[in-house]
Amino acid sequence: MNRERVKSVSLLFLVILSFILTTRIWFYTSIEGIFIMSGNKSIKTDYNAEYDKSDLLKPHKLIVSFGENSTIQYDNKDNSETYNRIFKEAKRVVRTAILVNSKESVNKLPQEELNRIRNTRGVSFIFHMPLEIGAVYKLMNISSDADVGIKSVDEIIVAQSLRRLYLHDTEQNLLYELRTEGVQNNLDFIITSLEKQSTITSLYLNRFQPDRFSKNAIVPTKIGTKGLPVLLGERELVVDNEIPDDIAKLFDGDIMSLSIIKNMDGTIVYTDRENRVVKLYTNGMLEYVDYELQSTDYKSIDVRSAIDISTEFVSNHFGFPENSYISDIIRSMTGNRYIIRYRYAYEGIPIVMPSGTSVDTIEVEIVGDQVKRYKRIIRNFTDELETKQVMDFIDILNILLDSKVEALSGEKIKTIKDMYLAYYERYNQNSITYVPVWVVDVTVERFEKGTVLNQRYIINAETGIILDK
Amino acid sequence: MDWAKAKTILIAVFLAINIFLLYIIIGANTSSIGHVDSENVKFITDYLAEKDITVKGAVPLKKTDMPSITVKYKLFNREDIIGALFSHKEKLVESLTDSTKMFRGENAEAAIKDGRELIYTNRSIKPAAAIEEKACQKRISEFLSRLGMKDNANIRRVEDLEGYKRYIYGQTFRGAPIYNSIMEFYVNDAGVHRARIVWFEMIKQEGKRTEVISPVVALLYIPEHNKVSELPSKEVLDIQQGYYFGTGSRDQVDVSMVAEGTAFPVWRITTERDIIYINAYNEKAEGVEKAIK
Repeated sequence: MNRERVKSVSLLFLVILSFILTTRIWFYTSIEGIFIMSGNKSIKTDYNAEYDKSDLLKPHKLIVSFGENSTIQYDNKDNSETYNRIFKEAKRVVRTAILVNSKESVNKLPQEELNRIRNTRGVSFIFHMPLEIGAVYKLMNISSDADVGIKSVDEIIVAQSLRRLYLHDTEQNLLYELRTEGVQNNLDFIITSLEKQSTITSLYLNRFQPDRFSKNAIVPTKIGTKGLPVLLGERELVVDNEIPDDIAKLFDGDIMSLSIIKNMDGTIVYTDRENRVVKLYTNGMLEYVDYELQSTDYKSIDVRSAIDISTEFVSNHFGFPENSYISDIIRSMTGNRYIIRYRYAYEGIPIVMPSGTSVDTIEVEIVGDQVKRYKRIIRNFTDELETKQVMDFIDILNILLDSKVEALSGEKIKTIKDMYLAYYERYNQNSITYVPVWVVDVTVERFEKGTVLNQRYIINAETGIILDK
Repeated sequence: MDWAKAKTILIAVFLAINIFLLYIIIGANTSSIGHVDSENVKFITDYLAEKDITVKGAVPLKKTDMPSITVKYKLFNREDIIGALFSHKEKLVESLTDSTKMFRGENAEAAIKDGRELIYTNRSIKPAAAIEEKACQKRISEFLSRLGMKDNANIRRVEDLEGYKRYIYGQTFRGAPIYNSIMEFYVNDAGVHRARIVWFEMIKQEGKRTEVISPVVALLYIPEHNKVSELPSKEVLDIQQGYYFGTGSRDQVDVSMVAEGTAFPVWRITTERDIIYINAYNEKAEGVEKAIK
């Protein structure tokens, strides 16, 4: 009997021991396919690896003009189909018109004609900042041979009723007029059906006070009765002890001698300790730098190549979030360095970061034909919280132009260059939320020294409180 | 069913399974040792001699395959250092230069560099004529316990100096020294006169055990190093295997902020001028320091 008891105890001991030993092997031995699942573990996988470049041409503001009245279109859930139909059809007209018009058939008009043209039935693309014509051509897959003399474009108007296309060149203060007769399209039908629907009316503020408002100060008059929700976001990349595949790809997959350094402030640094480094900051911002690339070593590149390089790089490294578009293209004086910035939107409303953040959303710096620096701070939106009523633009302007703001800020607002709704990030360790705001880009004159400078006011769209400047 | 028989069979089966599992675990954890061909050593010695570099130290004839490790610095903060090393009554003069915090009391002063290097001097501990080793070790233990640290170093070296004993401690991982860690004490029976501490509070295995390069291959880097050095090294005094936590030669990493990171197996080559750390995985230089003479 005693012997049987000893055997039972021994058996139990051996079973427990085998369990302990097995778990040790599980924890300390890595066998691909058994204990480690291959593939992309750490990031959202539905970002497009192959991004349609022409989608990056999505304008900062898409206006459909019915003549006297106009509507501002947002690419949101309810309106996505309409928005994309207008965007694609107008884009097709623009592309065809550029291809069929020769340099000789293009007319140049003074920019004073802009208001008249905007008053005709048609579609306007208003960009965040002027784009080099090469960038527009690249994004529309137009060969550089189709040169009609334009340098940079900050607005494209498909004036459907005039059968004309206008490209506003801010560098030369000219409107380039291209003929669109014979370009088959459905824009007439789309504009007419949109006119019959209930849409968000837009207002060109410069028509009332041309000295006070710039031509891009176009605002929605009413944003609907349901308001805009506060958003809950989370960091795009949360790392554990494993090196995420997308970070490994930034080192061409060579992770054997990759060092992972944790800084006192929580920043994680991946480095080959030679040329390349990836920093993952506590706020979720990722920064990749190749220290080997020095701008002095490289010849100049054109904007077409720069767009190709940056778009391919972003596509291959973490990808583009939905509703991304090119917001800025900055060329260095020497021409061998480009900075290309991308923005993204939620329900058609752009995402803006606090002024202290060193990047808006995605930024690629190209030196020669390679990427020297890549920064991105993207959030995955997980929930819509309470809905906030949005103040009208006129109430916001009343707050902003009030003498109290002038007295407190020590500056006088001279001109309002742009005004639009956006989502503004409020970050703390426990949560990342986005509140609806009005962004107002202005030029101000400082009382002290009389200097004139550009300023951005971010105002809570529900309360009218200035959140950031 | 014959339960007694079944149990005997199960015991035998589980015994076999456990022996197999133990074999796997021990096999995975035991460092694999490779041998270095002495002909290759002679070849490299002759090659370096042609380049006017003499190998004086012995080239190891064994190399141990090692995993990379993660190390975390013991960080020192202002409050803890003031509380541990100065009396409450003392009036302290504090200053900050670059990334170094300095605290000066009546007799003692302490500095924290980059949050992780502690340098301490106590001028009241004068040189002593006779020094007892036991008393010195007790003083070191007391000093460390005031800092919330334990006297559990793996490497100890003792030197006799005038009026003090100098103790040098280091850390190891599975017997391999971690070259960035150091505790250095100038001490006698009265107490610790001087101390310098850079220590890792956490060391853990990061990757799998991986084959390392031969020391012969690491020595090939010396002529390359000489090409970029102002004063070339002429003598190789020592070559050893260990770990080094490097942050790169460029300024891509803010060294003053580093708290934790990956240390790689290296070959440490000591010349009459420099100490060069060669990554034992990819043959690249992880760091270069001036040799202490």
